[in-house]
Order: sequence, then C-alpha cells, then structure tokens
Amino acid sequence: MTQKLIIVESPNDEAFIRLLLTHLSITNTETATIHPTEIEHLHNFTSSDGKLKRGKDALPEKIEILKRELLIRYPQLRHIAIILDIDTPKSSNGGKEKSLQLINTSFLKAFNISLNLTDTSTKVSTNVTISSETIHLEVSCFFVGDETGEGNLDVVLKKIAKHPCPECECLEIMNECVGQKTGSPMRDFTKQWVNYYLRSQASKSQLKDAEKRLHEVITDNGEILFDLHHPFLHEIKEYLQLE
Amino acid sequence: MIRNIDIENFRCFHKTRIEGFSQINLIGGQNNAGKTALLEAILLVNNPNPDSILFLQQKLRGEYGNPEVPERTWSSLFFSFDKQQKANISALAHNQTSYGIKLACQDSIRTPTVTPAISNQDIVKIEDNSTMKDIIESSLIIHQSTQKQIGSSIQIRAIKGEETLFHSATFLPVIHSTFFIPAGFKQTADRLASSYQNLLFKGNEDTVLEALQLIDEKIEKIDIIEKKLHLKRTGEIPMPVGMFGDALNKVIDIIIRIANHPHSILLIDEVENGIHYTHQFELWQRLFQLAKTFDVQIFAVSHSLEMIKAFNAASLEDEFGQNVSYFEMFRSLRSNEIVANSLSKDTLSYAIANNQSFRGE
Repeated sequence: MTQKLIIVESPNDEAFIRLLLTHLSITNTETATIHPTEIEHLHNFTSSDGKLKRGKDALPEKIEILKRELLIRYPQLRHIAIILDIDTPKSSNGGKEKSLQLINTSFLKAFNISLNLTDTSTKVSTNVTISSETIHLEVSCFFVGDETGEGNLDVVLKKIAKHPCPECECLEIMNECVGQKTGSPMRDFTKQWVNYYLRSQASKSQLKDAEKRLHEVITDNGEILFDLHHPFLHEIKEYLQLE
Repeated sequence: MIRNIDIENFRCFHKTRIEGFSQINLIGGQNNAGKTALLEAILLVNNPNPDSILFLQQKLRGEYGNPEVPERTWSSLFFSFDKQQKANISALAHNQTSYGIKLACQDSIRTPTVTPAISNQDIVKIEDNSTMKDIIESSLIIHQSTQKQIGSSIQIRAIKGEETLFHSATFLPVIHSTFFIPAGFKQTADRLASSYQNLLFKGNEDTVLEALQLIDEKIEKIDIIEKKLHLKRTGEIPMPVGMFGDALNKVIDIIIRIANHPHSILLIDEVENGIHYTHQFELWQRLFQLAKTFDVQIFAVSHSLEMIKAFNAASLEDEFGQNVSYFEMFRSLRSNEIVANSLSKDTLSYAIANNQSFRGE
C-alpha cells in the first residue's frame, strides 16, 4: 500500500521522477500529476475569481482533491511530497518563497491548517481532519531548477543528457542568432532543446507518438537517455529517499 | 436551512457527520453510497411523522412489510438491520438551532383481553382484523427533541396479521416542511393541477411557464382543463401534461413545489432523469434563482457527469453561486464509514477539466 505520494506538475515530470524512483529502488511510493497531459490549454480552467489557472497555480485544487483521496484512494498514506518547478521569481508563483507560500496556502484552504513549511527537503508533521477522521500526515517539498534558483525540469534534463545531439547544437546556434537579432533568447529554448534531444534519440516508431507523448520516450529500448549518476541529481535523489 | 447533519445507525450509515450544507446542494457518488439514505434522513429529522416513515418504507423502498412477521417491519431503517441499536439523526440549522430524532424498536407479545381492539386511547386503529390469539407486535418509537421543547414521542405499530399499521393520534412538530421527489417519480396530472391552482392564487404562475420554456420554448400557456394540467404549444391544441416527456413533468413538479412552499426543503433523487444535457445549465440557473427567491433549500442527487458539469458551470457564472455546494459521497477506506466530502466550485471545476475523480470512484 502506498505510504508516500509524490505530486508533480505534469506527465513529463512524473516520468522523470518515476525513472529516478526505479533507479533508487524506492517502492511504496506513488506519483500523481496536477495536470494529466502536457497539452496545457486543455486543462487550464478559470476560477470563480476570473483568473486563468495553469501549471502549478492549480495546486490548491489538487490538494483539495487529495482530501478525498486520503480516504478513498490512499488509506495508508502518511507522507505527501510535492515537487514543483521553481520557475522565475518574476512569475506569480515562481521562486522559492512564493512556491513555499503556494503550498502553505493550499493546505490552509483544503484542510484549514497552518502547515508552516519553511524550507525544501524537510518534512513537517501535521494532523488533518476530514469528515470526523483525523489523519497524521507529513508534508515536504522540493523545487526543481538550476543553481541560480530558477527554471524547471527541462533545465535539469538538459544538464544530464547522456548522448551528443547535433540537432541540439544547431538549436543552440539558432538561439544565439535569435538573441543577437531580437535582444532576447528564443522562447522556451530549454524546453525545445530537450524535445530535440529526445527526438534525436527516439526510434521511428517512437517518433510517431513523440510529439503527443514525449514523456514516453525518455527511455529508448530500455536504455536511459539521461545520466542518472550526474552530480546535479544528488539533491533530488536525497530528497526522494526521504521516507 | 440545515447546515450540518449527524446520522447514526440509520440505513447504511453507521456514524457520519456532514457539515457545511448550502442553500442548494448537489450530491454525487456511486450506487449504494448512501445518497438516497441521506435524503431520507433529512426528511425524517424535519418531519418525523408516520407519513414520512410510510413514504420511506413503501413508496421509496418498496417495502410494505410482511404482516406475518411484524418484527421485521422496521429492520431496514437501522444500520445492518440491527434494530436493537437506536438510530439517531440530528441537525444544526443555519440559525444555530439544533434538533433531532431517535428511532427505537420494541417487539412484544401480549395476550388480548376480552376486548380485542387496541386499548391505548392514543392509538388509532385504522383497520381491525385482530383475533383472540397472542398479539405479536413491533413498535417503532420516534422520539423528537428540539432546543425549544422537552422531547416527545410517537409510535407506529405493526401487528401480526394486520395489513395496515397503527400510529399515535398525536403528531410531532414539523421543523421544516420537507418534500421528497423520488427517482423516476411522475406526479399525476390532477395533483399537478391542484398544486398549480394554488400558484394561481398566489400569482406565481409565470414562474412555471418560464421554467418550462427552458425545456420547450414553444410552450406558450398552462391551463387546467377538466381538473387536469394541460400545456399548449404554439400552433397546437392544449394537451394533458402526461402526454409530454418526463423532463417537463419533472420540471413542473419541482418548480410548483418551490413556488408553493417558501422556506421549505426540497429533496430530489436522481435530478437528471429525463432532462437533456442541453437544458441542464439553464435549469440550474433557474433553480438557483428560485431557491433564493422562495428561500427553499434544495438537496439533489445525481450520477450524471453532464448534470454535475452543468451545475458547476452555473455556479461559477451565477450571482447566487455562493449559496451552492457539491458533495461527494463514498465509504472511507480508513474508517469504513460513509463520508460526504464537499468540493469547492473551483476544485470541482479543476477536477472536471483535469479528469480527476469526484463521483466516489
């Protein structure tokens, strides 16, 4: 029975975390996504205050859904781990402080508790009450990004790509060119880079579905396309081993 | 209006508390999750009288009881059919007043005296087929308590060999007038006509016509002909309401009950029955408005994804959306108790957009 649930933003995030869990031989852990596909616009929704919610903005609603799932789906659950892209501090829920605040606010809204989560990779204990049932829970979080405290999973994947990729090198040259001509880099450059990398490694049959379900070609014929021993993964691997 | 309810040892409920009811409540969940039993509990706690019990036992559950085994008559009202345990239902209203009922069962065997009729003065005998043999009887005792008055009780007796039930001549106070529209129920045209007649006296007849036009815009007039309700579509002759589909009958019934009974509670089982999905959004909007206007609290049950989507969409757009709640009923895997978990309208909206579960699955 699942004792730990890891909540991530998207299926790509989920596929990567599952890869790491297998690599670390971690069992009794399930993963869940805030959004079920990468096609974001399908799952955006407008909240009652008129705001369009996308990506991790929907964490409060996901945590409220978790309230029922603690009773009906995960009866043994005791640890909720939340892994979010840290994004840029300029965005509405970006950066470490705002991401922590988002998690605390989500639990306050769903369970009416002050979680007081103040740092990443550290568990806090709390009791939540759902319809007369009191459940002891531990909650922790980890934010994915680069060394400067910005970015997302794509930044990590780019760093740990195992094979050379001529297409990616061309894309980098293009990015430089775009930067020179427009004064700013290509939009979603890192995301595009990872897409090109995955496509360059995929077999023809995988490529047919690659654009729709890129997360499924992270491994090709059993070979892992990323260096899971890369030092950059040290922190997240330690976090995943937090029981 | 009810805010919270506690249900113990009643039907499929062992011990359940549900908090935070709004003016309009939609309840979803799988089969046998306790949705109809919740409506029954709400009916009984508000109107704990023989009519309600008989309605639940006979019309709703199809249980007439076996006159040869009166001791089984009341079993299904109790959790696990264990009538040794009392059933408790208590409610807290939005104005913070609380009230409740206890149901208890008592079996007895007694030898009749010379006079075979029931001797208690407060017992009305509806039909007397008793014999001089020992009388086996099973009594359901309903005890009501409110903040305002010391508790009082009534009882209903099932007696061996008797086809009918006997009940106390006195009645318990009705806390809120409560009306129950069972799944698949179709009101008769003459009953609809007499209810509609009441609306005419009150000048609320346009309310019904406007609601019907949501389902069929060609309906231009409602009439009572030969004591039966008739609807007239543009260019056609008036037709008895029974000739129209289930949706129109259901909508008429719902709207008339709301408009005729301000400050009441309306319970609707399987609200989606017969109503095409293209009309559901506007129907909810209309119900939101009418519930507010007539101060009626609505509890509706639905299995339908489309009906829940329409409810959510209407609650997000409607100015009365603040008075609306969605509850999902299921059995907790942790405690094995039935739970009714409320989802905020934003979370329901998120769940719909993101293929998350919200109907007890």
